[in-house]
Amino acid sequence: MKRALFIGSGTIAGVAAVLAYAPTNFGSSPQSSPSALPGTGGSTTPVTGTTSTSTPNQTKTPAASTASKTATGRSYSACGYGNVQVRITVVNGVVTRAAAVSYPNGDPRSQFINKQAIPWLQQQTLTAKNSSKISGVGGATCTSGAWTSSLQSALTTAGL
Amino acid sequence: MPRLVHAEEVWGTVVALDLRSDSQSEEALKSVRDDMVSYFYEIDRLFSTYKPESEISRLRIGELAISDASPVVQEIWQLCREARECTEGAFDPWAARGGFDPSGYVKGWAADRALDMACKAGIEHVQINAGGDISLLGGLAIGEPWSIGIRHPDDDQAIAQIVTLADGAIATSGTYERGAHIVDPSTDLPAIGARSATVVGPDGGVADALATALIVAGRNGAHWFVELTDYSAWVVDRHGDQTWAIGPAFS
Repeated sequence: MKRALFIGSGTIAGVAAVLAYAPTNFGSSPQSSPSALPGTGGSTTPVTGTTSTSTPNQTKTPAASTASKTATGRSYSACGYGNVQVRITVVNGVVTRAAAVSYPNGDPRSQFINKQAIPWLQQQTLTAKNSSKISGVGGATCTSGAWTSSLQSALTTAGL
Repeated sequence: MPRLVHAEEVWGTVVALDLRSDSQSEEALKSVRDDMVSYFYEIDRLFSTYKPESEISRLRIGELAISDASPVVQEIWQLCREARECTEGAFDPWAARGGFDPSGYVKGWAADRALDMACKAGIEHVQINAGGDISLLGGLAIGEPWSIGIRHPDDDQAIAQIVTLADGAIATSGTYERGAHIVDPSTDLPAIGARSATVVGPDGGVADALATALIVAGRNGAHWFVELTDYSAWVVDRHGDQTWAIGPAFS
């Protein structure tokens, strides 16, 4: 199943790029320059298209407003699966929701894409959490000090 | 419940094992532990970039052609190609300085194989922690998933996220790691897409590759997870205290 997912990944790049690059237009993602990615040929066109075409249907109001805004992108061909068009919701310059307003219908694969092509990036603030009930630690460093600490913590708490 | 905890210094890091069984004896746990550790060294002999005689080292200097390499090396080569394609080049072992370096993939992949060994031996609950990348089997007990803390990127004593999972892999990459060795293949400069990226999913090698790729691509990598529906990501932005998450493990 993993293999199938990888093979299929190129075909959906167009759909996904529309969603993933939407935040760039509102400056909420400073590092996301589309050209920074060595993108495949398949994804290049939609990426460029999104950047230049969100303007026509945009209902963006001045940045000072705290109201929720929506913007609808242009419709794009999803590599033979039909067309996809996405509407995003923006609150205070941050994309809080991206939803497909039109998408391909017909074959099961397209239906699969439809269900999944609405990524909701859950945004939170980084905080330290209560670690009293964990049974392991991930993301430990290669440095021995941190490693020892994490390992000890993992081994100790694993017994709880 | 018989339980065995073991830490082995291998793969340039520490690999910690936590084996628990409802049915197997302590002797059986030790026997599997020994097999797993032997396997770690077997992988090290093939894939270590620090050992000049390893197949990977010989590949890197052009002394060995991929077509003449061991089947397992050829398999990793192919899996890395798929991961590179899936991440639009953000994960690219061929862009490593000195040539093809699949270390970022192999660790998680091999941990999964070791997990299979324990599973086949009838051990129900296994955690393998390879330098902070974790493969899990069967929860910590029947009906009790593993609860894994993800370290805070700015404080190695703090936990910033908790993942609850019975079976699967959890891989974390961060720019806080020694040497900040993740390089953006498109610029050949240190990656700046994110400060820390954790990926949860069924395959350890894929999770490792995706976590590394997210450090390169940051939010631009979010759309990979639209198709990879079995995988989830939790990412700390490069600057500030904003995090974002996508996928079932964090919903």
